[in-house]
Amino acid sequence: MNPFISAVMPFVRRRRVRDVTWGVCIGAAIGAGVFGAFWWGGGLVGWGLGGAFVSAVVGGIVGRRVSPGVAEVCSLLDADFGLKERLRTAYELKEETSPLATLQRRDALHHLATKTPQEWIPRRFPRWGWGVPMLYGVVSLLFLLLPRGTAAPDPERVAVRRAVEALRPKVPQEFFRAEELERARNAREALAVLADLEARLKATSPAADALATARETLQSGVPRGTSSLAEALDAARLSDALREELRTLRERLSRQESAASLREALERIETQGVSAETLKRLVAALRELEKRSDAELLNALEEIRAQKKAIAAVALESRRGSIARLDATPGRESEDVEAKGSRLPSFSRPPEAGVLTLEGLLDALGREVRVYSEKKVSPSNPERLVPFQEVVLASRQEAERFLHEETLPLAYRGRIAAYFSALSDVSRRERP
Amino acid sequence: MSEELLEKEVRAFQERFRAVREEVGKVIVGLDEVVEGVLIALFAEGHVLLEGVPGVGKTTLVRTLAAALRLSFKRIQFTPDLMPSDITGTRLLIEADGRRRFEFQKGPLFANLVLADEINRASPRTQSALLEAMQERSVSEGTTTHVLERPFLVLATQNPLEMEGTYPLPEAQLDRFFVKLLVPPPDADALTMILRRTATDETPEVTAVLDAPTLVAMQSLVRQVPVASSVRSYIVRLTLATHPRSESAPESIRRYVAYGASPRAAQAMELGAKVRALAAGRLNVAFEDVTAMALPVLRHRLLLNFEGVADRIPNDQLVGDVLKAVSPS
Repeated sequence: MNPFISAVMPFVRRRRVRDVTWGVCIGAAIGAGVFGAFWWGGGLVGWGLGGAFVSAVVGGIVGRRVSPGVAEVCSLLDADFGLKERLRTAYELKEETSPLATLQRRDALHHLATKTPQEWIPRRFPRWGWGVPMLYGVVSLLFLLLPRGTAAPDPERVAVRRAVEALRPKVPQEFFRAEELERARNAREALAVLADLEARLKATSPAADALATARETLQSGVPRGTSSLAEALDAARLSDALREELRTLRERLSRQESAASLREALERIETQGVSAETLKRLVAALRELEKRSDAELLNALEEIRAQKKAIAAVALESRRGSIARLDATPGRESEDVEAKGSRLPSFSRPPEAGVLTLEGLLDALGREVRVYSEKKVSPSNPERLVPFQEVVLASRQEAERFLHEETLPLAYRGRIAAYFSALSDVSRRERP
Repeated sequence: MSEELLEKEVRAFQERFRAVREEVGKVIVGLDEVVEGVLIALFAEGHVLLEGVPGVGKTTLVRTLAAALRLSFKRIQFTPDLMPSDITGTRLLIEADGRRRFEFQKGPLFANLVLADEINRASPRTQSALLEAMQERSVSEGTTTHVLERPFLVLATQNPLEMEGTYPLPEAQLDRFFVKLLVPPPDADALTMILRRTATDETPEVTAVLDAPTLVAMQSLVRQVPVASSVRSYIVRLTLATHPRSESAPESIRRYVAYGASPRAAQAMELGAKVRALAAGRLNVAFEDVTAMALPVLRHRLLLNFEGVADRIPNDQLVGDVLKAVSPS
């Protein structure tokens, strides 16, 4: 290496070390402030520590990059030690061999020899540098020792978990797929699952219809005075029908553990004779079972509706502003706005077009609609115009109540949802 | 030249510079900066314009300098009727050995040190003859060119008081002067010393400490002094900042200056800085050397516009603004 460069290099190295340590300290301080939020706020310890470390490394690299080169260090030494550009001139003449250049270099080195790198940069590590890791450590220790609250859980997920717990005892297990409801990531998916469950419950109600039919058949099919059902069963047409009904009832009841004895009784009816008294008791039991099934069904449906409302309310809570704006009656919260999920065999499929979903409903209601396209006669003021949104909202509420409480084929449900979606489109186009 | 010899030469330069200054200082009192400026110009082979009121010692300074340098010295008193041939020389008809011939008689310009007293009193034609000799260091007579002997230094003086009957030097010719030095009137202490030395029978003796060959060698050494790129860049930036259209020019330059300094100014700053460095025993030029040379080099090279002239903006103030606006590093 050039002798002049060799003489200056200790100063250059000292400056580099100082710049790197300063970069590391500044990077660590910034990282502690920025990434500490991950740790302190979200409990992500790895992010907090790792981020501060990465920031410190980046700071060190930046410090190295911005550290001055040999030429700049010569200028800095000239300025700091009052060497009057001796070093800078000598650096530029470092390769020259003329007598004057050699003499000048010697003169520069002679003056540099009286100085040391330590004299130039007394401290490589900033005074405040120790404070950063110490402060970080103290604050981190405080956060480790002091109790920390957990992050607030997602309210929609909480509502879904509550729905699972509430429905588990009330809905027959063969219909309620709890794991599917638990997998729902948000209110929309949960409501879709519940709508599907509701539809299946109504479509395949646990033997309610069959019980009713069997009961009625048994009641009507047993001739007066018949001592045994077998005799009644001997009647060709009726017995076949009754036999078929009983077999169907038995198959359906086979899925219910609570009806095991009734199922056995029905088997005996087919295979053995039974007295009229027994038959009466059987009919009474069937009636009881029917009532219980009806009650169970109603309870289940009611619970499903209640949970749907609860989940929808939680979901709407975050969108309260957009809903409240459209409420025709100031001060009354709209509590009938519920999402109607589509009946999906699998929740990975997107909702069908035209089917009313929570987002679509809220999106439609989220716009201030001031369209007066219908003149509604108000009892108090016949000439008063009523806002269109009030009419639509009232109609929608009525339709939704009907969808909730009445039995309706699935195809019609979709059409009703599409109808109200179309109304929302019209209102948007006709906005003044 | 070997390194040892060169080192001796450098040390000798410093000593000789100090010796000349001390010798001149025996006679000239209170003009240290002016004396140093003249010496710097001398060793940088530049000409000097001295401006000061009458009686402050301009002529005495030059005479003393000539005595200290063992150089031939001529004084030319510029008057309005002075002709160019009066300073450069003329052809005379000589009769010798029965034959007549024309012979060129050298004028007072053919000296090492020429004092052009009150240069602004001579006609522009005569001024041009002198200034041409200053630039070319030669005198043309017919088809013959007579080279002026080295070293050749012109010290011109002008009186700032008298404006009637004077011919101010044109800017293009002012540019040929290495530096313009303002000779201030003496203060109380200096005046006291002057009286003691001149109004009594005490006559300080000035010893010649340099001769022409030595001076020429020293002038050659000056040109060898290296200049770092950052220092040279500083010189360039200073020069450019005197131009009103330059981006680095301060507001006062943009407002009051019509034309800035020429490349001769940059040359003068570098050469003058080299002399200062050598005189300080250094073999490299420092920023402070350039800063010290900026004022005497630039003050006469800024051409004011009408607003500057009307507002009587001093050139020194403008140069000061340039120095503030341009930082060394």
